[in-house]
Amino acid sequence: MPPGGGAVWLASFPKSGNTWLRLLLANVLSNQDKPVNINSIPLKGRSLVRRTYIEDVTLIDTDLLTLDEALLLRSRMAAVIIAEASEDENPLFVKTHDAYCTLPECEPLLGRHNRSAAKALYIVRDPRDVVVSLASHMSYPIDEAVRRLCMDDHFIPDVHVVTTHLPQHLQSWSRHVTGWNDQTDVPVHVIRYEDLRDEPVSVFGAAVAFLGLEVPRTKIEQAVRFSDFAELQAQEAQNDFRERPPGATAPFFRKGRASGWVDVLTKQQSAQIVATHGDAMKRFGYL
Amino acid sequence: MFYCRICGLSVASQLALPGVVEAHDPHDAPDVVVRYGDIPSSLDRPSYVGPTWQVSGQRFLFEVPGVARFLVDDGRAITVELNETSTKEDAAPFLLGTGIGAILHQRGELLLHGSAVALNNRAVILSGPTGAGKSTVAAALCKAGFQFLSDDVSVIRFDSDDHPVVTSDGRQHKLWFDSIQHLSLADRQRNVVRKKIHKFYVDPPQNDAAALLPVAAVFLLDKVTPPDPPSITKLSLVNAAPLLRENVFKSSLAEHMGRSGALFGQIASLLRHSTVFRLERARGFDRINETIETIKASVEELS
Repeated sequence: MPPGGGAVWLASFPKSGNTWLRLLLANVLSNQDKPVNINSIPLKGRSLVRRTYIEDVTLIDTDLLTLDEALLLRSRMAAVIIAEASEDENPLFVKTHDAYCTLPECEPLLGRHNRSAAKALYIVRDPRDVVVSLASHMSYPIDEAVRRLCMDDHFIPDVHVVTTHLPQHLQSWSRHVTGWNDQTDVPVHVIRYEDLRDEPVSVFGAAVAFLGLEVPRTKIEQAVRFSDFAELQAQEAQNDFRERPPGATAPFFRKGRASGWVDVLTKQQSAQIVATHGDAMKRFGYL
Repeated sequence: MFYCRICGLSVASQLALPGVVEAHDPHDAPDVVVRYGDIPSSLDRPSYVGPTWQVSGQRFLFEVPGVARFLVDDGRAITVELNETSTKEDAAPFLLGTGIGAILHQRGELLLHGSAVALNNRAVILSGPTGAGKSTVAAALCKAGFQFLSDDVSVIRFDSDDHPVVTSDGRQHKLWFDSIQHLSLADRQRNVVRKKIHKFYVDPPQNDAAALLPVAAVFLLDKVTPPDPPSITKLSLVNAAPLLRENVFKSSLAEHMGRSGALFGQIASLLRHSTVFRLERARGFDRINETIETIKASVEELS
């Protein structure tokens, strides 16, 4: 399995299947004959936003930075990670919910680099299902989740809250998906969440091939089995999931089904999403 | 010049340093001098080059992108070069954090990332990474009768009997606005630490710059999910030593300055006379009163 090095951005709007994709990758790269532990995902990677890591590398007290300075520092960190990845023979996976955007200093938020130094897997999901999942995950009312998908000035965590992580700049759902797919800095392979649910072996297999990983089909099939929602839900029920927000009342791994929004959103809510994001939804086959 | 004492050092600075108690008399021979000046883009023969900093022997160069660059020399001098769009008020908090931290490392000191308070003349250090709640818990302890010693950084020195002692550092508390609100400290709230940052200097209830108190305990702050009550676990020496090393202020700088061996010895000396606890608590202000009572009971038991 000689994959070749380089940084691999695992990019998505939140609640679009990023964690599931990481588990699929971890399971396909694992030599174990059992599912990987969801609380200790053995995927070699780096964080673009974890304060303790960034402060250790930069020696800067990140709680003293303004938002613009924090984003500039994050751009530097992305360049560090890309440089580190280029010296490794294995890929370095970097999860991000950032939109693909440029800072006022004209630096890409995710660092300036050669086109060959990084690749991206971008996972996109019907925004109506994203809203339902986001509302459950963050304990938001549905209307608040709808509002957030429409905000261009959208950061997680909220910029006035200091948490263990620096803010990620999401922008609106439309700008997120079009920004990543229209940029030309990084080769990107798009995965529709719904396709991954329907045809996991072929869709995940294509993503693995895009990364240049040489993996037999039986290993892909095994990774899909080991990352099945029933398996993930069973692990979460037994040992909880560390990425579930404190205070969340619902499990992290919910139904995971496509088009669940039909039973949850009001006509007005779904109409608002379509009115705001219709063009991008058509482009990715949701209308 | 602005004269003050920080972490037991006399400082003369061309920049006024907010949040620091200004000394009334000029120092004839200050331990540390802070000046504006031009700074080279890189150091000669650096032993380490990171994304925002370099080390070469007793020289340390670091940059806060978009704010300022700093050159720290031999434990005695800091040169500051502002970014063209920045002000001295922007640069000062980083000078007081990383800059003074580098000075102290160059002087061979043991400094923990943590706030120090005291009860009955025995110091307690609350240590942990950014966002762990060190300052908030320290402020809550001060409201409950503890004495304030230092915020965010605690310098541990050793007296003639090799007992660890910590000094009050002459600086104000820095607290987030929501902490000030929750702890009803608005009457002691002073200037904002930086524009656009909701963090403020807060006068401590008292600030005896001369205090030098023995270190009775270090509490390592750890997170826990909200419903659980706070808990305290006494750590064995074997478990405590590596965790203290992780909580050395600007730990990776110390490592790249070649200080790991010296720090190991200093931490061993600290552990001979101080108890280390892991404190697991709810984030934010959930159960803050229980947290304070738990810490207080542990400290009183040590007496």
